[in-house]
Amino acid sequence: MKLGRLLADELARIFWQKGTYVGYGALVVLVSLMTLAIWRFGSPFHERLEAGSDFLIAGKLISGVTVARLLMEPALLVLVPLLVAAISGGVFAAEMQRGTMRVLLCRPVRRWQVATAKYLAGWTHAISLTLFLGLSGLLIGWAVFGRGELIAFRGGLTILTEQMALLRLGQAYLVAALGMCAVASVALLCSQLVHSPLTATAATVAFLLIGGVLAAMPYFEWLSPYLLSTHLEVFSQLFSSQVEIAPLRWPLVCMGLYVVVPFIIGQIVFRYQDITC
Amino acid sequence: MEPAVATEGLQKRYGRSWAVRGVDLVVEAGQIYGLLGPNGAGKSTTMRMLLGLIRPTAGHVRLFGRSIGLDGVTEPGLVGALVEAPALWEYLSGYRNLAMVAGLSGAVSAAELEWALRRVRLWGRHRDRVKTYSHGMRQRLAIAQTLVPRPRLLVLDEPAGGLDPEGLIEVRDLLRELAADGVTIMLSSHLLHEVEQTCTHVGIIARGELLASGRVDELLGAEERYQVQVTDEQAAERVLSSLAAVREHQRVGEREYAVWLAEGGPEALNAELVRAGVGVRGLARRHTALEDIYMELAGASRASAEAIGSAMQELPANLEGGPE
Repeated sequence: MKLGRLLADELARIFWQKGTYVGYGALVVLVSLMTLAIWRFGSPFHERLEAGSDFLIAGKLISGVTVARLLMEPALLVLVPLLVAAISGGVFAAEMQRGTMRVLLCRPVRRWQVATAKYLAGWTHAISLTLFLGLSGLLIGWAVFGRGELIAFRGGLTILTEQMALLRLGQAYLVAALGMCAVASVALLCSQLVHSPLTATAATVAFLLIGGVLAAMPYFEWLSPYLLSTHLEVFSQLFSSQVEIAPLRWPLVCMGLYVVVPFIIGQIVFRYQDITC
Repeated sequence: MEPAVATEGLQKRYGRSWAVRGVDLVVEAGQIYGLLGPNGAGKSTTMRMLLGLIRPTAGHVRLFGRSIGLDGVTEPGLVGALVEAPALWEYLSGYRNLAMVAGLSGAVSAAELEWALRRVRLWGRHRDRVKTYSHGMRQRLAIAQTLVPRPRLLVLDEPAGGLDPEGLIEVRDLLRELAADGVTIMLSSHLLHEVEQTCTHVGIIARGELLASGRVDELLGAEERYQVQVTDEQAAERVLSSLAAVREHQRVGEREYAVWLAEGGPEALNAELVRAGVGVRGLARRHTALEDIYMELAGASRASAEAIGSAMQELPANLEGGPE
């Protein structure tokens, strides 16, 4: 009951800030620009298809699902993690900076409830942002290009029926949402450890970037399976003609750990933290 | 009946410096208790430890007999608290700020919210975003947050901060009204006159130590004195030193003395001075202000701290940081 109330308040505080909608606005702008570019210059698949002279292209090459698919890499590897880090990075730190944390904790609430509500709100925002990206891509894509199949390249050419493409897109966006929840968890933990939202956001972005750099270096190849940055792109495996579960298992477990471990550490930190703000 | 607030050996240490050391405090239900001390004396740290915001290094806190643990106060309606400057969500309305915080204590009616907002003169501006409020309005809104639901104990850290004279009087009246309704109030302040005019009881804290605690009138009454202005300082000194009726005297200015009488009244003192040929230009009874007691206690504490400090300097280095 109390947790539900805290979560509702937390979500209200996130979604009543104008700044939150800057993120959604940025995604709409990205989707629109991408759709415009595809409409004007064609799909990036065009060149690859035309390069293989054995192909005869007949029918519709681009549809709404194509837009939703093409968006994923640029948005979910750069923009959405940044937006998630910006909001989640402020969830604890902004309360500390404003002093409203002490107002909350002077009320008859338990610390674990406050921390849990904040993590749940951060995850909710991350999921909503990811699904919003997919939905807006699909809707704008449908509006401009209409309905049709999804042509994807992953270890060869794959053509998915619209029904299958929608299913795969749904699964891929859910996997991406798990990754964004992991980013949110890291940002929330950073937000607990520093008292500035900007610092928490910067620390999260640095964490992701350093992970990406390390994964690209041969000396740290052994570290790569344990880095969050390595697994954020795992959703692309869902667009193969046959989806294999085994290669997905560890990335999903790893991202799940990145969601849960910061949460547990965060609970311990918050329980013993002196509120001096 | 359990005291509203009871602390036992309350201590807080940050690294090697003490913020609060060994505070034993008892606030009985129904009192308006003022914790008085300069900035950095340990008032806010003490208040935060009472509310569970800061974990004591040692010692215990009990509110109405309930031990305060890591989760602070978990019983709805027990404590309303305002700690330091008002902390509000700027992008929300005053009403929403109040409703959001009050709702964490359970179901709160719209009538209760309206009562609190009217009580602090914010009804009418309650739909406006807090970012449009002045500092005084924010302070009043923060006070309103402490009133819903009506608490058994109100803990206010520097409640007068940012209030105009009218606001100060209103807060004072409000506190008296709440106390009359049975609400125990504990406030901290560095403003002597605020504590003197508002509180029934006072604790004086400096350098993390509680130097004195008791009824305000008793503390003041025990230190009644007279201010005497004379024409001849040497003669006055001779008379004041020889008179049995004078318990103590102290030169406080040019041809001016503070005199504490052991017996008799000021008329006898006046007569003795005149008889000795000392012209009395002024004789006034002076109620000792809390300020005097405070300065005396704080001065004593400072002297003792300095004495301890110099003693520590003389200790061999390997003894430093030994048992406190």
